[in-house]
Amino acid sequence: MTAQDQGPARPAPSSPLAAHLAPLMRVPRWRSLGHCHVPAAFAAAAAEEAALATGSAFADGSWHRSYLVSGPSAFDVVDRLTTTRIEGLGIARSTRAVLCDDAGYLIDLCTIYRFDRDVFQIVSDAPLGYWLCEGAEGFDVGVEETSGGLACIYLCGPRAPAILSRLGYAEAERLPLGALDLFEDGQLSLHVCRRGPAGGEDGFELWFTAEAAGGVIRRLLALRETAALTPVGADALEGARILAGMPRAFQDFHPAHLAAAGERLTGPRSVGLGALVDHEKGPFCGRAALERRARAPVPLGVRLFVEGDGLRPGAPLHHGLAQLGTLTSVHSSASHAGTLALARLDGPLPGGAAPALEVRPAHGEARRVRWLGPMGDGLAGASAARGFGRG
Amino acid sequence: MAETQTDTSAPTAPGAQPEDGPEVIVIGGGINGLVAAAYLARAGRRVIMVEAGRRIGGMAASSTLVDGPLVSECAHLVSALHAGVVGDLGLHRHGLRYTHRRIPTVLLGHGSSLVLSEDPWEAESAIARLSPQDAPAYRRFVELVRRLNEGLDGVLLSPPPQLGDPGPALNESVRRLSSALRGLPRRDLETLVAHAATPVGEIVARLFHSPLLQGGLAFDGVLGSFAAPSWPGTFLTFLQRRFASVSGRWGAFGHPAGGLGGLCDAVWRAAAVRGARLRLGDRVVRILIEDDRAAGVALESGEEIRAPLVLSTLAPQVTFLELIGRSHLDVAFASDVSRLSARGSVARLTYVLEGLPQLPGSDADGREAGVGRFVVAPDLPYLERAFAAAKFGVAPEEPAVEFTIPSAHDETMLFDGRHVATALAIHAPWREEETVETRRAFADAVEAAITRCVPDFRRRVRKVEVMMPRDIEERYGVPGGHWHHIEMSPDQLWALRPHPRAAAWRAPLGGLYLGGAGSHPFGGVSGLPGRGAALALLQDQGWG
Repeated sequence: MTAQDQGPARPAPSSPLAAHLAPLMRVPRWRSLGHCHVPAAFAAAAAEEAALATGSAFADGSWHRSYLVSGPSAFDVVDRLTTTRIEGLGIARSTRAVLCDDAGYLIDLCTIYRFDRDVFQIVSDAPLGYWLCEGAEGFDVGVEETSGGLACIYLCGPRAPAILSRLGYAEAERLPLGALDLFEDGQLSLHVCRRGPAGGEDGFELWFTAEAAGGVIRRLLALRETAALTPVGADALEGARILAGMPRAFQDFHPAHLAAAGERLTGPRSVGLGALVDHEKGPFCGRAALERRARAPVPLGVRLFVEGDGLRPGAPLHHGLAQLGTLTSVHSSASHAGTLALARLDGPLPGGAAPALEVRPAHGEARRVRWLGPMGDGLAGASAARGFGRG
Repeated sequence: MAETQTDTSAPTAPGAQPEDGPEVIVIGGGINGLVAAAYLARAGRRVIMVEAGRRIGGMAASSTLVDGPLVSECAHLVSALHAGVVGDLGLHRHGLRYTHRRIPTVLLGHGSSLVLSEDPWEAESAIARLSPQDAPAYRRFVELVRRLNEGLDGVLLSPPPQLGDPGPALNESVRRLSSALRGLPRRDLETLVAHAATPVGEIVARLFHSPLLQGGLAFDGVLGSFAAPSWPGTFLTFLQRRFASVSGRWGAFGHPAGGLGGLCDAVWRAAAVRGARLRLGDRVVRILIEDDRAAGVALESGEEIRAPLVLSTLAPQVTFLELIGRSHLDVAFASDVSRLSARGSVARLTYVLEGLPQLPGSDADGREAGVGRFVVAPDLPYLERAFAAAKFGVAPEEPAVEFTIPSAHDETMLFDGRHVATALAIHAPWREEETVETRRAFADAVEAAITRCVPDFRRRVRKVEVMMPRDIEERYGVPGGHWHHIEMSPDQLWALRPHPRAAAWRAPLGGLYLGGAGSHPFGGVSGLPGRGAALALLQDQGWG
């Protein structure tokens, strides 16, 4: 088994797309996500958000960590490590899945792609190399981190299928959600997956090797003018993620396998991922602990809209004088004229499902809060409704 | 004898569960499996014990390892067999008989020897002749060890806390611990806490002047462990070795008639008369798991025996990783189990001797010639040097040895007038490959070590058979060839034995119990893990 985690102490390398995207950025601002740096923004925030919502946009998604799990026992290993039922995941299909540790605490929310009967790719935010190798110990399987050699582009927005058609991939409209297809036209060779970066199912992922990055970007940039394709940065995607209520490792929860002693750990239900835990599937890591806590009250994760901007994660969420929780993810949204946020509540909500809440930052006035819904509702609902393909 | 046991089980077709089928399957017919089966049968439960070998006893069996006499196959003395187990199961009624139950320890040095009778006053006078200033210290030490063991008795018999399951059960177990230790005088409690992590070598070096006494006592702190006397935690091993005695007096070792197999036969009779059944010669290859619960076992023969409760006395690594499989286990738990420390370091040798060797002190003390537990560990540096070699996987040139001559007090073990000696040589390395040459070389080193203390030993040897840790691993299926299945280090004792999530004899899967040497409290021929697991099972089912 080989797997290398990019530890947080090391300076993160740039995305394989960085050199090609840098000339497009008005201000060279980068964000460190996953294992590398990606562009934070290309243009005005409002324009990028509008492109995501109503047009077509592409973003660098190469920062995710990816691991190839292959070998005769690959299914057993993946099934053992995920709380989601993998049994029905057909070849050339993908699904969101939750990983938990022995104690039922969240390791990460990841995406699993099945390339072949015994070949899976796990894509995550957190480094999973050690964890996967530990889980694969004793099985006839290989685990290889492929993060550095792969690049990914998210193609988002309602016009994304048309963009793919213009690229030469005519199957885009018909590609089922969660499905994976190989597109080759002599110049390009990439995997297309109908799955987006936020709620997960509002776009496409294009996966290709780092060496092919230049060719893919050139083809996309050629469509910028004629097909109104807009590059968007990680900031805009962050807004879409928060709107979809999708929790992210190191922001809305701390991966249990990397936590230091005393660090607060999170179960899947606390960040709205309870629906991705299938207690009826066979044994999986953390099952006994999750079952023990299945009906215990847990802190809730919520989606909020907060008036104004300039907020940071960690800002306290109040109901009157009582602090109810803390913001975990924030995004100043130009199009919403306020802040989109995810928050963790420490206890039950007083006074009904949507009480009068406010954020009280360390400096400045208290901000009024509008309740958008529980964390993870869009994601879990979408995945559950989507089910799995039949390969 | 054990060899005559017949297969009285009635395996069922897969999926079938006859009304009179077993309620409990005990995996492994070693001393702990036997004790567990006997306790369960005594409680009126339908129990079947499955043993892979052709005879019961496991590492405590007797067999004709050397052509001729029947001798203890691996373990060769009884020291820590708990009186509670003997009494509960009525083992004397079922044929347990000792040929000698107060075998003294004889420390052998290069040119000196010391007989440590189980009677401390007798031992004290022997010490006074060798090292006068050590005599009163020895008496105080013996008393301290006796009091500590009495105080620990309740701790070892009661379930340790399950740290992974906080709440009332944890509080209750902490209360039990507190209650069990309350009997200890305050000074002894302080001593126990201080000594728990202190190397046995340091303790004996502080207390005694005689190198022979230091080496001989420290030997018991490292026998069966991959440790040097200078390693923390070895005093706990020493206490385990001296935890109880067959005579009810500290320091006594016993030899059952027929060897250790005689003891196992008695335990099996106690189980069989209550209806326990036995399946010999069929290996359990899988524990059936249904709905996260044990549901029976699959045998090598292809048959399945179904039962709602399974009690495994195999090593925890074997039970979890081989019989259950990682797919049913949480990742970190499986990983921890695979990393349990189990580096066997004891080789077992069996000698056929032409006549009794001239053993030091035999006549002077008026004891029967050849009766004793003879320990070759002349001083602490001797033990340290031996371990230093084993640490790097090299066989020590001068191994420390414990040997007995059972035929000296059990004439059934005489073979054509020849005596049989059984020896445990410590700090024998586990090696991937053992050949005739490597075994021979180690046997030569052991023989030379004994001969330096007993000059006519070598010339009396007519035949020797040796089992290195690797051989023991293969023969008995214990990982690393470790006699206690897993190391008895502080990180693998009490609530951590074998793992915090599998403590108190309960596996993290429903209906599965652990009663082997790798469970609380320790290995050795004590029967306590088997007893504890059986009682835990009975309690959980409301059958207690």
